[in-house]
Amino acid sequence: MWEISWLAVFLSALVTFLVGGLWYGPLFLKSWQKEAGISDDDMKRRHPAYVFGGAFLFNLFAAYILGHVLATYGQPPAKTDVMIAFGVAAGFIVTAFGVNYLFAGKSMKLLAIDGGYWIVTYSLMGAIFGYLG
Amino acid sequence: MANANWLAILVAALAGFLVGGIWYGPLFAKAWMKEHGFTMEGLKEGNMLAIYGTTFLLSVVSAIMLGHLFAASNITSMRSSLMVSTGVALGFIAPAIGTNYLFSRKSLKLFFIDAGYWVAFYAAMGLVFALLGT
Repeated sequence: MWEISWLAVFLSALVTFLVGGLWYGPLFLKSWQKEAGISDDDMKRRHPAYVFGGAFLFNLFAAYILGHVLATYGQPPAKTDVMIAFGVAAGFIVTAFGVNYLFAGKSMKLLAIDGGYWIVTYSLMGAIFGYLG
Repeated sequence: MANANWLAILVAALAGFLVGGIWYGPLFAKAWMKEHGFTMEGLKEGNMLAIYGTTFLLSVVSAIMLGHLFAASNITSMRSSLMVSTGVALGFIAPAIGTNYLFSRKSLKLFFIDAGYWVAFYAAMGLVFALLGT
């Protein structure tokens, strides 16, 4: 049950960065900055090594936990892995962000951007585990 | 899904709601407001019915999903219920919030408040499902 493909874990963490670079880059960077209220000066405030390094560790850990959850179901087809991963993102992560954003007065647009990122990322992670795990 | 325990789902969502009232109330309301830079006057401008109503709906959705996970994996004991529910919060929600907060330049303190809430929230839901069944 804890025998997980470390290659799949690492690739999954990598995918969060690749998707991130596109999602919070050419796709939605400006919208995100506007909705989140982050100025270009704010963007300079934290050391990139801390931000990207920390994010990589978080995502490596999450990928490992996802791999573990998927492994508990035996060897489901890749399609099922994607479904489970999608469900985790939509049912647990996006709902949590939704509640946090409601109380913090953040917009639905920001929830769509940030929530959408996790749904896409987790679905891809599910696919990676499905084909490699 | 058709034979989901809807009573347990509602009670679980309610339990999470109560945890929220305590966590973002007597426990961390001041700290949370400070980290966000909110004032009481500013917060009062929100549509309370929409905020609390939608929050309850989202809590029900997450309770349905957790109940489904428990049922699909045959999680029934108190020990595994608590382990899996806190595992969901620690393994999936906390890293997502953490990543998001790193990039949106939110403080570590806010991360602990918000991520900690979900651990408590999911632990409460896990407890309900362990007691009432899925």
